Amino acid sequence: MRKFLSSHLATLLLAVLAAGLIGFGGVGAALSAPRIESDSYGAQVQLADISTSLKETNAGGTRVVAANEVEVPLLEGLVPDGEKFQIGKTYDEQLFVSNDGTIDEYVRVTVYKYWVDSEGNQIDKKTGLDPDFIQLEFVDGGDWKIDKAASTEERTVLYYQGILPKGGETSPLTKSVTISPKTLTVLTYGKYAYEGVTFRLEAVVDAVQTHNGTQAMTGAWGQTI
Amino acid sequence: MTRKSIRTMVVAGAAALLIGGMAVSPAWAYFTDSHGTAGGIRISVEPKTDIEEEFDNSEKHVYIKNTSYDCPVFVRARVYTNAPLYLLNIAGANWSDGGDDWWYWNNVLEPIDDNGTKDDTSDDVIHYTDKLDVKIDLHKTREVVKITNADGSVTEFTVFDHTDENYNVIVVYEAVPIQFDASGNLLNPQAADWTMKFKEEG
Repeated sequence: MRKFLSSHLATLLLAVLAAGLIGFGGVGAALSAPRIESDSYGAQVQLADISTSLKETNAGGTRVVAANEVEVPLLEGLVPDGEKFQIGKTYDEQLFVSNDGTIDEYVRVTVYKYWVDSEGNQIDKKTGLDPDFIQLEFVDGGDWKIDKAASTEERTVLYYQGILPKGGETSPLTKSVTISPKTLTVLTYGKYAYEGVTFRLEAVVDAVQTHNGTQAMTGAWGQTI
Repeated sequence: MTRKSIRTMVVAGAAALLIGGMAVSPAWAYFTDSHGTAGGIRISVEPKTDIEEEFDNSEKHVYIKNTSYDCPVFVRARVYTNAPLYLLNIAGANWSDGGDDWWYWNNVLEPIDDNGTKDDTSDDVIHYTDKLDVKIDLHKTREVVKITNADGSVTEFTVFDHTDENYNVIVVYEAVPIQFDASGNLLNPQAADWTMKFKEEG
């Protein structure tokens, strides 16, 4: 036996066997064609489809801001028509999620808030502008829970506490936004530090299937709700 | 173990791994979905303002305009003069005496736009304050005249000279960004914080 295994013939046979197994795995389905054909019946097959939308409600109404092939800028309707944005004034800004797919899902939303200069460059606290001056009021408790371990001054991660059924909508995860009046009184080298800068919000919604939910969440997000 | 048998086992092992990999890969896939968007609003915090004055017949007319990018402000003004004796008359539509030597314009002074003038209100945006009229009536004592009455009493009259004198009338104004109370309601200009403490950084 040992002599056989050490022969060229054994090597060749094993290589052919391996190639045959791989090839058979690929074409196996083609060999299973039916030999007896039954009557044909019509049937509809519903494929599982996960689909999620992020929606926004403010003075401008309610609209989908992020979904399949949809990306609408946030805050467009924040200021009522005929008014100008005012520092220190609180504006309604509600974000929520809808399930547009054919299966139930778990959802989480990550919201970023930061300042950008006139050229679109992000300015963080280390370089002078404080994200805390962008006062975005979140819902923490009830339907939504903030993951404090994953959140920073600029990033807030919220998990929806339960299953979002197909066709369903969550309650809002944000309530309002205010720019602190402290922005009016910060000088840098004698100049107004916040003059002409833009406060920016960014929101990303993630959804994952509820079937084998624990494994799915762990696999997709690295943790469960 | 000979090199041939090692090669044989490596080939066999690779085949087994390939087949096994084909079998378990579907178990790693989950249905997921993700979408995002962003947006922002530019702010302006520097209350750039300017003053325009007209002077005629011992009367100064003052307008204040907002030249900032987008910073609505409250405005107040006061008058200083070195005239020796005078009666100061200050008045203007929508201007109120705050009782603290300051006169407050009662409205929000919106930023001026490229086409704005103080006579242009077609877009309902106020670019200038209402006119504040400042008039100085000089009452310089020139002579005191004493008249002895029939009963022997004396009545004194002061004759004032209204001749032109060199004197200065200076209008000082201040502007602060508009402010809101804790409930988000716009404050009255007289209730605003006119002593903002600035924090120097950098």
